[in-house]
Amino acid sequence: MKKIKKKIIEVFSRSFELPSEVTLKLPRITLIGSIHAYIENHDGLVVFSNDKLVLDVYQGRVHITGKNFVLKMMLEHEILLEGDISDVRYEPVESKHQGEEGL
Amino acid sequence: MRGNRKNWLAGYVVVKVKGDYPERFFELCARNGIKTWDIIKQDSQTCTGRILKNDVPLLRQLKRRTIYKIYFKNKFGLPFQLQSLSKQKPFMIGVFLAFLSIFFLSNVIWRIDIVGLDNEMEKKVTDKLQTYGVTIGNFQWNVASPLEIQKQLLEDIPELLWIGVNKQGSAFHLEGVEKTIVEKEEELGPAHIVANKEGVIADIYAENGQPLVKPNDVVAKGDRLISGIMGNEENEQTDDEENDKKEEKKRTLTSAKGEVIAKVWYRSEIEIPLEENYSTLTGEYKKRNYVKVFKWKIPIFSLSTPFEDVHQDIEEKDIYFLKWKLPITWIKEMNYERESKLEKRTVEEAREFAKKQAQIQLLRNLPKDAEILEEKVLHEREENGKVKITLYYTVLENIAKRQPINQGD
Repeated sequence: MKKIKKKIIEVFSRSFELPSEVTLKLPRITLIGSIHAYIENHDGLVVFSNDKLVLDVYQGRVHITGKNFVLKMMLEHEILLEGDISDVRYEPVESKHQGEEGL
Repeated sequence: MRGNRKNWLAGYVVVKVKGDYPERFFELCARNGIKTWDIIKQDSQTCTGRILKNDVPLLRQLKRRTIYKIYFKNKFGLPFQLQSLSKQKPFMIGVFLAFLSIFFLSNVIWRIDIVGLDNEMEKKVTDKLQTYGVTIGNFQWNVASPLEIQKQLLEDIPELLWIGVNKQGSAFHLEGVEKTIVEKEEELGPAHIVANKEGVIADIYAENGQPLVKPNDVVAKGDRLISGIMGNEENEQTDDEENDKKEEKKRTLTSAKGEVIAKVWYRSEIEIPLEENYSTLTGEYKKRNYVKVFKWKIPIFSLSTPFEDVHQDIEEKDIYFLKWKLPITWIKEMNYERESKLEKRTVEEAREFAKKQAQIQLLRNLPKDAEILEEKVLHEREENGKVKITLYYTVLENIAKRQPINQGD
């Protein structure tokens, strides 16, 4: 049932050219060079330190690594990261429960 | 940058969070709608960030639900700077005093200019102004409005024909025009005295010239009473113009002068209603003061209820700050109690009243030395609740009027 629903939404958004981050709850990550990363639509912060930022997103996690990380701004679903970004990695996770337990 | 400035205006604090995974606390903040920024993780146990001053109470509430330790480090922004400023009492007192003195000085009369009058009149006007309180150094709110000053001055100094009082900021400008009283020339040239009304001569006194009428003569309007032509009387009486002119040249012409008192009759009609509604002030009054800020009137020390029927005198005074009129005005309101009365008169009373009224009206139109000799009721009628009276008056008055003699050139 869930799979059918997901499929329908996918088809729906493709046929109407709707932005997928809106319909599919996917994160939108905007990088400005290697100094800024702007992440929208995330589901929560898991780890943040000087050289690492891990965010919960829909059906997965985003790992950003680098140096001198500062969170320039943090709102409920938006984060602006500043620093020397060297790596952005997407890690799909089958069940999201792990992340929520961590909180 | 713009965001920064906005934060600065609202004021913000640096928060230091201690505990395991301190960044999770900021995550909690974000979930609860607290905006955070500049979050830096110093080590695995500490993390600092900034939040708005207004969010501090909410942050404290959140903290109670967690095991994190929170320290407020630095405070930035306008509210905090103002706070520290207000702690410096001497400075604040200085600012307050400065504003207060500017405020008072703006409401002082600094200059009084009088234009268009000679020294003597100017002195008179300044003396009068002094009695009204319009002096240099006095407060403007102690002084009546320019219009009222104008009225008062005109009343008190009869020599003034007109005076304009103008207030410009803290200066009063007065512009006056003096009455030039033209002395009437006594010797104006030859003239007759003629009657200006018809009547019966009661008394004649010719100071200069030749009287032509005797007491008890009936004269019409325009009749010659005292002649300015001295000499042959018979020729004068004739109306033959050419003859007259010839003769006149031989005779001496003079400016006739004198008083001719005559009985004159007047008829006046007056209507007096038997029932009349009129309102009088009972003498009770209540003073009320207001401070008016923009549109709102704020009463001061006066919460008493006004009278049912009132006559109001409202005086509004502007208050200045430097050259600007403040939207604050001081309103003095005098409430006089008014009472309406219904007066009923009997026919008798109405008649008496009518007579009195008619006399007053008549005397108003007559010269001052006129005297009412006799009063007769010609006709009296009562209809539609009114008494209608026709009165007949015999008045003794001076009917002399100068008429220059045309000498033909």
